[in-house]
Amino acid sequence: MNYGGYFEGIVGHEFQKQALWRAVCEGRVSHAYMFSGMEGIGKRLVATGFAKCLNCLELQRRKGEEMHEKCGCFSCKKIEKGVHPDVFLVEYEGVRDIKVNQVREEIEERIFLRPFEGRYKVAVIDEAERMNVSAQNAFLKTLEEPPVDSVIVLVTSRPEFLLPTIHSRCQRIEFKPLPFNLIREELVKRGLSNEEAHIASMLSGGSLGRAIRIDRGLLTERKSVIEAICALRTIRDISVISRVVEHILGKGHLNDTDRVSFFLQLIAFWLRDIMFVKIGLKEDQISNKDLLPVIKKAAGRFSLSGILEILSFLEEAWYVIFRGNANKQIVLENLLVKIIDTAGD
Amino acid sequence: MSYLVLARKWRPKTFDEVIGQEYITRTLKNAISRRKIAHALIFSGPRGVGKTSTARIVAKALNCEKGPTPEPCSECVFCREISEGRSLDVIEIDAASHTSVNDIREIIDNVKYLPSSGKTKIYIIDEAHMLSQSAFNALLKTLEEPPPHVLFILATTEIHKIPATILSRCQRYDFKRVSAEKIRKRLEEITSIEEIEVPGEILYLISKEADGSLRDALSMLDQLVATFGTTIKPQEATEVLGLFDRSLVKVTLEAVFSKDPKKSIEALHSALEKGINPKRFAEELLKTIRDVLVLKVCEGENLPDISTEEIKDLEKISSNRSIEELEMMFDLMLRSTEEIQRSLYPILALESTLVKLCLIQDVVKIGDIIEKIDRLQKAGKEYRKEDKETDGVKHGADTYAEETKLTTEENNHIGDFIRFVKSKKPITGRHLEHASKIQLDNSTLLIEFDTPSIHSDHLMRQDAQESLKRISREFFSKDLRVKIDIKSPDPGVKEPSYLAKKENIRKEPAVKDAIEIFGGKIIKIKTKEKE
Repeated sequence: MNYGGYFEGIVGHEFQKQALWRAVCEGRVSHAYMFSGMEGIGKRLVATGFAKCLNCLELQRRKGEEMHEKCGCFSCKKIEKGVHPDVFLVEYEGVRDIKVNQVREEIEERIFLRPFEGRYKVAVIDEAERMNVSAQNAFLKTLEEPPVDSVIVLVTSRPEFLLPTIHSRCQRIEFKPLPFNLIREELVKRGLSNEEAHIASMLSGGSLGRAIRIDRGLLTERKSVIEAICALRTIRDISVISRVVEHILGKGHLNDTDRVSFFLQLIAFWLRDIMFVKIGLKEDQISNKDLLPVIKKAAGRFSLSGILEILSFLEEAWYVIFRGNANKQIVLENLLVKIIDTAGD
Repeated sequence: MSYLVLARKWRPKTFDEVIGQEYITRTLKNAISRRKIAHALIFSGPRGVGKTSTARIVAKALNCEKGPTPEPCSECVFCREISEGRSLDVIEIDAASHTSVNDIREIIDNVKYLPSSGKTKIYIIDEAHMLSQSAFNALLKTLEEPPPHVLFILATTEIHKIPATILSRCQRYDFKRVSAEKIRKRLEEITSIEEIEVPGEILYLISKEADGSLRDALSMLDQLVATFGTTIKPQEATEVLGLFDRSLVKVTLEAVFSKDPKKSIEALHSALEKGINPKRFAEELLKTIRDVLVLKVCEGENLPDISTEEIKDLEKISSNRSIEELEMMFDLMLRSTEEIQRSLYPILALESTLVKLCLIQDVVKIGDIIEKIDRLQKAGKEYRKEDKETDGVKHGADTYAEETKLTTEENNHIGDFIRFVKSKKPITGRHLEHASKIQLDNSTLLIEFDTPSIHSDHLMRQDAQESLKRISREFFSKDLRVKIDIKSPDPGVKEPSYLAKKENIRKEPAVKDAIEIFGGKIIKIKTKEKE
């Protein structure tokens, strides 16, 4: 299936595309959708594609045929550029949240007008979870019974922040994390080596957006950091520990949160690998495949409960660094000490 | 061209079509046929159970051409106008976007005018909980004594946000969740009329997943129809709805119960491959552990929402786990579920939770422990009755009992003595309490202290010794020598060893580094307590 070429270039989500395409073809388009799923997997792209097929001028012609290129009609071009008068996007504007006024002005006032040139008015609300409680409440009635010829699409990565009353008014389309091999292939296409693509796909947790954002420079440092951590033996080598921490923090740019977050994730996945080796899982589940001997050796030194302890410590470290404002150096040193402390010889 | 979703298309049009709220519909029907309907009603209850629909039906029932009737015809001009939302006499207000006093004032101003064509003017205030404080207050007077031709219906999902003064002016109707069974029946009716082929098991899953909300159930059904047309296969259906197969959870739990972390993680991964959301999986895991726990606690009693087969399955996999253990698992899972929700890597968090669950040790019931102690104590009492010397050998295993016996007896004895001293000489008694050991030999009362202190100093004094002697003679009714002993050596002897220690520590590489780096000195040496 190629869905009339409207979803061209969006990786994965065959099921979701098919569902939407079918709804369009068979005239069963609901008035409200909620696209949920982790960030960076293409929800908004699918929403735009959906808006295109709702309003495309050549829909009838493209329905029957195999189309692989994007449609070039006026409507689709306008939607692509974001200037279509009947397709509007409500976004979080960098203030705290999406407020009642914004919902009213941008959606309710416009949605009650007739479509200007298309067949449907399509309102896409990106990061819908940013709507505050009053905005959500104010939106309820419109969401339940909007005027005919209008479709509202809520796009959100945290559906649990939306009221149950909102959920129950929408057709929920859940976007799943992309399969790791799909991300890996996509990354290899973009020029990463196999090993790097593998670890990046694991770290991305199934989000292509996240995978692409991972810095390649960091990926090359992965091996050395893990090996350095594995080599730590005693807390007495304070100088060695602080050297590793300094390396993780990166010299000169102490405020590089991406870097710290990357390495924290890396340590988490390294621990996960050890955990998997310890409980005897198959090797293809392991993210640092190339470092298997190092990991196996490390597995001998840790107890299972020790690993779990460090993992929960790590989670906490994550919170104090990124949600709170703790000193990264101290937290990282603490983490390493904890790791050494838990390990046997 | 416009397609109406099932939830809107099948919005109930008569009281009988409102599912699962029989008490409310019956009350309203009776009230309408006897013309005894209150002037203000408030409908509360969870989402999608029929609050707004019922409000509209009431409006129709009152304004229908055939006079106020419990069976509105849905065909006359009035009914049609109301269904289409263009009646002038039925004013539906979205309180969530009209929250201010001004919006309410507008209502109050218009209340006094008679209905234009119908018999009653009906204000439906939906999402009433969002009205502002002052808006509520502005409404109070009108709500209490509106003109005779006006009816107010408030509908809300959050009744606790409505002020008590409003509640006391309204007749309150609490809508309940619709039971899974009723939802399933309703879905069956709708699918047969709409000519959609849905297998029964999917309807069952949907009705459970809907959690008491008919609208949720219909939304899901709609989604299926949108994706597959009118013939729906079970396998695909579960995938679209993100519902699952409880069997995956069961397999995972079975592995957890048999303490097999490898298997449980493999089960989790196979579930994730099917695209199940880890957060949902965690919730489902929690629910299932809860079910197992409930099953264990109230044996044999049926859980309402679970089929008997499932009960059998759950009983089978949990057969060798105790209630205490399940409780611990539930506790851990409850905490972890929350952590998983906010974790950056839910999968990782879920994995480590599963391993943790597998590591939970067998728990000994507290009841068992108490029973054991009781038994031992009983044994101890019996033992006391028998001859002392022979018994210690006989009951070699019961050393614990012996200990308890000795300590209790002695404690009582000495405790009594201290109390006695306190009653005679309060200060001496107080100091006596701090002794580490008080022992009564044939003719000496031995009072031992671990370290020299003011307490020992006091007791060493001549007058204290004498009074102790006197009191002990009174208490034990014999002459006793009072001896006070201090165990530990003088601090003066200790000093050189401390210095040596300090010297040793200074040589430690870690300490050396620390002193070099920070330029510090050793102030105190503490021994680290090893767990």
